[in-house]
Amino acid sequence: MKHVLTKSNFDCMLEWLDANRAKAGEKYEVIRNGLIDMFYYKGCVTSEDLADETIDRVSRRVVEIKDSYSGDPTRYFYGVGKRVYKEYLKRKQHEPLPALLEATQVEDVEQQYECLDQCMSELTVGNRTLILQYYSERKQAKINKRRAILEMLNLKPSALRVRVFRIRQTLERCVGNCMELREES
Amino acid sequence: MTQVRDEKQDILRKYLLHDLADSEEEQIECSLLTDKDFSRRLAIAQDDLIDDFVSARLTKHEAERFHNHFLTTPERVQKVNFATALNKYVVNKTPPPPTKVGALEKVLTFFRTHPLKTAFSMALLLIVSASLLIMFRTDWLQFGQNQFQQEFVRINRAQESDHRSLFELKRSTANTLAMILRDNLVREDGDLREVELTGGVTQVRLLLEVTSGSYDRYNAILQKGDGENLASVEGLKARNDDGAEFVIVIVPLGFLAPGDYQLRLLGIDSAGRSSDLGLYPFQMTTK
Repeated sequence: MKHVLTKSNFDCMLEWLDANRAKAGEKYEVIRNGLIDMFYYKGCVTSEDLADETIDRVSRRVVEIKDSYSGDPTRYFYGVGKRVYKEYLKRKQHEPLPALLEATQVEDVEQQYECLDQCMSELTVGNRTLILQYYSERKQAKINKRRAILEMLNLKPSALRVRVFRIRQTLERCVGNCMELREES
Repeated sequence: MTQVRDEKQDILRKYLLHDLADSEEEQIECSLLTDKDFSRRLAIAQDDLIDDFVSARLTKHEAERFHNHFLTTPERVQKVNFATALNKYVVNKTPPPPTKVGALEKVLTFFRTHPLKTAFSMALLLIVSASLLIMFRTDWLQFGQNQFQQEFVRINRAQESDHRSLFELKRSTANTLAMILRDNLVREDGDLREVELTGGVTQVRLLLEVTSGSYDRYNAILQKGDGENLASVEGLKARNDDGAEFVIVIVPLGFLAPGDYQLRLLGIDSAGRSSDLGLYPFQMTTK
C-alpha cells in the first residue's frame, strides 16, 4: 500500500485536530494508536498499514472539509477507518483461505514453556510471586486468593489487574524474544 | 477478576468475540480513538478471555465465537499458546495447598451428611470460609517470604564480587537506588530516611555506616518497623572509605509494600562472638 502523506497535508490535519500544535500531536498519536488497535481487534493482520491508509485518506481530504465539517474530527477518522476496513474485507474474500488456525500447538507451547521458565527468573521476586499467586487455583479458591492478594498489597482490583497485566506483558515480550533467538539458532 | 466480571467487562468480551450490535461496537471503537487508557482495558479483557479459553471456562456460544471470530490471526494463536504455557507453568510451580484443607473438607462432608438446623450450618460455613481465606493468605505469605529470603541471600552474596569503588556504589542507577544509613543512636534527626520508589527501581543498595569497632564479618536482618523479621543474610564484609566503614546490604523490591522497615546489624568477631550494632531504620514510600 502506497502512502502519500505530504508535510503540508499532515500540518493541515494537525491544525484541524487542534489549534495548539502540541495538543494536536497528542490527539494524532491517540487516533493513530486507536486505529491500529481497532483494526487489530477486528482481526486484521496488517493493522498498522490500514491505520496509515486511513490517516493518509483523511489528510488528503482535510483541506476540502475542514471548514465545512462540524463535530469531533475523530468521528471522521472513524468513518474513513470503517470504509478502509470494508475494502480490506472485500480484498480478503478474493485471497485464498488461510490454513485453519489451531489454538494449541503442542510443540510451540513446549518451547514457550522453556522460555517462560527462563523469563520468570528475570522477574523480581515480588513480581514472580505475584504472578504465580494471581494465576494459581481455580473457581472459588482463585477468587479467595485474589482477595487475599488485594488485602496484602492494599490495592484496588483495577490496580491489581493493571499490575498483573504489566508483568504479563513483560513476560510475553521476553518469551517472544527468546523464541526468536531460538528460531535464529 | 475472572469470575466476577462486571457489565463493562462483559461488553468488552463481547466486542472481542464480535458479538455486539453495530451501535455498541461503534461506541467501543470511538473510545479507542479518543481514550488512550481504553486500549489497556481492552488488552486486559483480551488476556482474561484467552485465559478462560485455555482453562475451558468459556460457554459453548463463547467458545464457538472464539474459534470463528477471534482466533483469526497467527498473533492471537501465539497469545493462546503463551497463555497455555503460563497456565502450565503456574500449575507446576505453585506449591500444593496445605493438607489442612483436607481436614476441613472432612468436616464439611460430615456436616453435609448429618443435616443440622440451617442457621447453625450457615454459621459453620461462614467460619470455614473465613478460615480458608486466612489459610490462603498465610500460604501466600509463607511462599512469598521463602522466595524473598532466597532472593535476599542470593543478591547479597552476588554483590561480594562487585569490586566497584565505594564512590561508585554510593551512586544510584536506573534500577538501583543507593542510600547511606546511619544507626538510630548516631542519627541526630528523628526522621526516618525515606526511600522513594519510582518506576524502574528494582532494588535498594543501603550503605550502613559502622561506627562501633571493626569486626571480621557482619550479619544483617531485615525487619518490619514493628521488629518482625523478614529476611537475613550472614557473613557480609565491611568496606572502607577514607576512614569510614560501610556494610552494604541490597534489598530487592517488588515484594515489599510501602511502610517502615529497619536493618539490624550484628558484628561477628574473630572468635565468632556477635555484638548488636544497632538498628538502621528507613521508610519506603511510593510517589
